Amino acid sequence: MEQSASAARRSGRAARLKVPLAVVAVATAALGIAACSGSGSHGGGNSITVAVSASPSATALEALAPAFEKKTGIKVSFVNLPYAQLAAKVLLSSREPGHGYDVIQFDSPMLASLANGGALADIGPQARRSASYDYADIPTQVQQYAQYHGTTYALPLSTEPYILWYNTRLFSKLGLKPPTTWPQYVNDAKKLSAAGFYGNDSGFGSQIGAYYWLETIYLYGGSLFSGSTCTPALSSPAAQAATRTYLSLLGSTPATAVNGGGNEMTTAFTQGNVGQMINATGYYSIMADPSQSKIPGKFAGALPPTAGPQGHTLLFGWLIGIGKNSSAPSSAWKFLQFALAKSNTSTFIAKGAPPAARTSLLDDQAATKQLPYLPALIGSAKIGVHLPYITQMPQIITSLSQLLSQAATRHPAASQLGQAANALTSAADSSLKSIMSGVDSC
Amino acid sequence: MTAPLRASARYLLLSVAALAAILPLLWTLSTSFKTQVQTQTYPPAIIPGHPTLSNYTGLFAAGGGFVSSALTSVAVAAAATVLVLCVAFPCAYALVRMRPHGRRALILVIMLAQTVPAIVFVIPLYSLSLKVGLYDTTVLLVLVYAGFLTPFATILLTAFVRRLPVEVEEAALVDGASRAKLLLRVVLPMMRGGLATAAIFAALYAWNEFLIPVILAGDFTRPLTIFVASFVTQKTIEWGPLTAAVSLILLPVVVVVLSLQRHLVTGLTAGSIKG
Amino acid sequence: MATALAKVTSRAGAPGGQAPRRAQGGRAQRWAGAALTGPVWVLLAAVILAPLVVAIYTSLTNDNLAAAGPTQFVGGQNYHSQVLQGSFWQSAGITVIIMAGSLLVQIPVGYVLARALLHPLRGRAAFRAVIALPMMLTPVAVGLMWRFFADPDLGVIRAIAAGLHTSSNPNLLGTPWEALVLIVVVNSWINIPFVTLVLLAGMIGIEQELFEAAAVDGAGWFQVERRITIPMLGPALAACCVLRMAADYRMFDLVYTITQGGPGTSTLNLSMLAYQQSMVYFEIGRACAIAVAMAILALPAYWLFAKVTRA
Repeated sequence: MEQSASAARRSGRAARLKVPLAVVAVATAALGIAACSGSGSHGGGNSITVAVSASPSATALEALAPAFEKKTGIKVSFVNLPYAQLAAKVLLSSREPGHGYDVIQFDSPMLASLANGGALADIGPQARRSASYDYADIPTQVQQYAQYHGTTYALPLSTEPYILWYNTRLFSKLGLKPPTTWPQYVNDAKKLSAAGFYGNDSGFGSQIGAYYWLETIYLYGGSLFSGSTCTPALSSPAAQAATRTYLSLLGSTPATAVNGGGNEMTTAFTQGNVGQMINATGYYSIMADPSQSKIPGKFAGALPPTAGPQGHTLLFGWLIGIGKNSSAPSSAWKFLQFALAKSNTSTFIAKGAPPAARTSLLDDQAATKQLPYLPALIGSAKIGVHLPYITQMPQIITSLSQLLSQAATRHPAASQLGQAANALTSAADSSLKSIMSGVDSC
Repeated sequence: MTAPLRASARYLLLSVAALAAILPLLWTLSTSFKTQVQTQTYPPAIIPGHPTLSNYTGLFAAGGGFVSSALTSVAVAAAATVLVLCVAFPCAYALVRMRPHGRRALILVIMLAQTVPAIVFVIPLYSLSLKVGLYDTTVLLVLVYAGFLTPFATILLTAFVRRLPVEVEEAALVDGASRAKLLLRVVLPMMRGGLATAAIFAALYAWNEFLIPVILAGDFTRPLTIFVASFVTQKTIEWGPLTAAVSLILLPVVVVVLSLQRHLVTGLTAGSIKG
Repeated sequence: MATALAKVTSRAGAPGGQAPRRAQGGRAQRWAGAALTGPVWVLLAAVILAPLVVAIYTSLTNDNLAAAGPTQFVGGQNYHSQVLQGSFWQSAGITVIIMAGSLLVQIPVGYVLARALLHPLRGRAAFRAVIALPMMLTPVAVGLMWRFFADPDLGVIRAIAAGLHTSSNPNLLGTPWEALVLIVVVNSWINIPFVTLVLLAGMIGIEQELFEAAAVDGAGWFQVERRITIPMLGPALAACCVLRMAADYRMFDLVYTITQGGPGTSTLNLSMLAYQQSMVYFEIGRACAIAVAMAILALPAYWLFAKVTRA
C-alpha cells in the first residue's frame, strides 16, 4: 500500500513538475530574446530620440528621418507615447538628469506645464537665426502660439485652427450658404433639422467639451479671462449669449458628439447627415479619406461665424521642441531645422498632416491644390488666439467640461435656455475663481 | 426537478452565458476585417461586406513592432507568473497553517496593495527604477508585476490551503518530513488546482497590465497593451488595426489558459489519502 | 437532516468551521513561518512599501510635475483641499455603488455558472472555455469596445434596442445612472469568468460522496446548496468576494476608457480622481493625499483580509 502510494506520488510529482519547468524554460528564453532586443539608449552626440504621439505629423517626421540620417549621419529613433500620458511622461523624464528626450512632439495645452516644469529648452535664438527655417515666414499669431511667457519653447509642427466645416451636398440641397454670422448659423441649423438632418455638431463631453464651448464664446468676442488678468470673464454678455446659443443647439447635435469632443464630432460629420461643424482643421485628412469617411469631396471649410470684430477663433496644433535635459541639443536642433524646413512641407501634406502655417504657403500652388481649405486656414489663423498658457489649464478644461456635460444631461427646453446658460456660466466662473485663487499672472 | 429537466436548464443557462461571452468577441473579429468607414456605419454589419486583410498585414509591416511587443508580453507574463507562484505559495501556506511573525503587518501590506490606486505606486517607482538603472527593462516589469500580483495570488492561494485536510500534513510531519519536504511533496501536489487557478489569473493580469508599463517602460520595452493603445491617437481610434491586434493576441492567451485549465479539472483529490 | 448526509459531512468536517488548528506549535513554528513569508516581504517592500512611504511623504508636499520651483512641505493642506471636500465623498459614493453593484452581479452569476459546470455534461469543456474568454481580452480594448457598443448613434446596443422597440434611442453614456449601470455590466462581463473559475476550482474539491449521500437522502437542490456547496466553498467564496471588492474599489481601466468619469462627474470614482490629479493636473501631492485617504477609508477591509487568510 505504502509502496504504491509513494510510487504514485513520485510519478505524479514528475508529471506535475513538467508544466512549471516548461513555463520556466519558455520564460527564460523569451526574457532573453526580449531583453536583447529591448534595451535602448538615450542620446549621445550621434543619435537622438524623438518622442512622438501617433498622428499623421508623426508619420511625416518618421518619413523624413532617413533623409536626415543620410545627410548628417545622426541616427534618429522614435518613441511613440500614448497621447493621454505624454505630458506626464515627458515631465517625469525631464526631472531625471540624462534621461530626457531630445526632441518632443506635444500639444499646445501641454505647453505651459512642460515649459514651466523645465522640460523644454529655449530655442528662440536658433529659430530666428536659421535661414532654412525662415522664422519670419511664420505669421505672428502662430509664432506666439509657440511662446510661453515670451520665450519660444517650441516650433509649430502643425497649425489647426477651428474653422467651419459644412456639408456641400446638404447645403446645395437646401439652398444654404456658409454662414458668416451667428444668427445665420442658427438659422441654417434650424433648416437642416427641419429637413431631418443634424444642423450642428458640438461636443459636450465631460473631459474635452469645454474646448468647443470656449470656441463659441471666443467667436462671440468673449474670453476666458478679462484682458490679461486672471479674473474669470464667463459671465460677460458675450459669453452668456454664446452659452445660450451653444445650449440651444443641443437638440440638433448628434448624440455621439454630445458625449465627446472633436473626435466624436468628426465621426458624426463623416456619416454625411451633419450639415455644420466648427472643429479643428487637422481632421481634414480623416474626412477626406474614403476608408475613414463617407463624405470625401462633399464638404468644404470656411471661416467660422463671428459675432463682430472682436470675435476670435481658437488656435490648436502640434508643437515640437527640444528637451532641456537633452544630451544632444545641437543634433536635435539640426533635426528640427531639417524637418520643418519649407521644402519639406509637401511631405507633411502627403502624409495627411496639416502643415505649420507659413505665409508663403498661400503662394504654393501644389499645397493649395492638396488642401482646398487652405484659404480658410490662413484666414482663421489671422483671427486666431490660443487659450491662455497657464499650468492650471488642464484643470480648468476638465472642470468646465464636467459642468457643461452636466448641463447637457438636463436637456434644457427652449424656454429654460437663458436660465440654464446663466447657471452654467456662473458655476463655471466660480470654479475658475477657486482654481485660480492665489495666482497673479495669466 | 427531474434529471433531464435539470440538464436542459443547465444547457440553457450555459448557452446564454456562452453567447453573452462570445458576441462581443465576434464583433472584435468581424471589425478586424473592416475599414474604418465600414466599422463606423449604422446599422452595424455582422459580416463585413467587403472584408479586408489590410489591418492584419499592417501589423506585420516593417517597423510595426507587433512581434517584438508580443515577445515582450510573453516573456514578462511568464516570468512574473513563475516568480509570483514561487513566492506566494509558501507565503500562503505559512499564513494559514503557521502563525508567522509579522503576520498582521503582512496582511496590512497586502490589503494596502489591493486598495490603493496603482498610479500612486507607479510614480515613485519611476524615479526609483531610474536610480537602480532598471528603467524601461523587462526585468523591471517582471519585478513590478510580481510585486502587484503577489498580494492577489497569496489571498487566492490561502483559500485553497484552507481547504486542504490538515491530517495529511500532520501525518507527514509525524513521519519525520522536514518543512521543505512537506511543502514540496505533500502540499504542492494537493494544491494543483489552486496553483493552476492562481497561475491563470496572475498570467492574465500581467498580460493585460497597462498603467505600469506606460510609466515604467514604453520607450523600447513595449508590451502588447502599450502597442494596442497606440491605435488610440489624438484624433481617432483606429478600430481596424486595434481589433486585429486584439484578435491576434487572443489566440495564444486562449491556448495557454485552456492548457492550464486542465489542471483545474483534475482537482485536489490527487495525492490525498483518505483513511 | 437524514443520517447518511450528516454522517458524511461530519466526517469530512467543514473547513474553517473546525476549531482553528494551531498547527504543530510553538516558537520555531513562527520563525519558520516567517522564513516562508520572507520572499514576499522582500518583493512587497520594494514594490509596495517603499513607494507607499514616498507617497505618504509626498501627500504632505505641494509636489507638482509642472511647477518651476522646488517642492515644499505643506502639511495637511492637500488633505484639506482634496479629501475634506464634497467631490471626494461623491466619488467615494460612486465607488461604493460600483462595488456593490458589481458584487451583486458577479458573485451570484459566477456561482450559478460554476455550479452548472461542475457535474459532467456533454460539451462542458467547450462551455467552460467560451465562458472564460472575456477575461482574456486587454481591459483597455474591452473598455473601448463597449464604449463603441454604447455609442448612441453607431453602436450595437442602439441596434438591439431599435430592434426591440423602434422609437427607443438609448444614450447610455449621456445619462448618469445608465452610465453607472454600463460600467457595472462591463465590469461583470470581464470578471464573471474569474469568479466562475475560482468557485469551480473550489467546488471540484468537494468530495463526490457528499453529493451522492445527499442524492440518497433525496435532498432538494436548495438544501444541497445550503448544506453542502456553500459551506464547503467557504474559503474560495470569501477569497473571491474580498478580491473582487478590492479590485472594484480601485477600478481604473474601465472608467477611464468607457466614460472618463462622465457624464458630468457621475461615474468619477476615487481612482479616476487620483488619476486626474496626477496625470492630468500633474498635482502629485494632491493625488497622493487622495490615495492615502483611500487607504485609510479601506482599513476596515483589513479585518476581512485577516479573516480570509486565517486557518
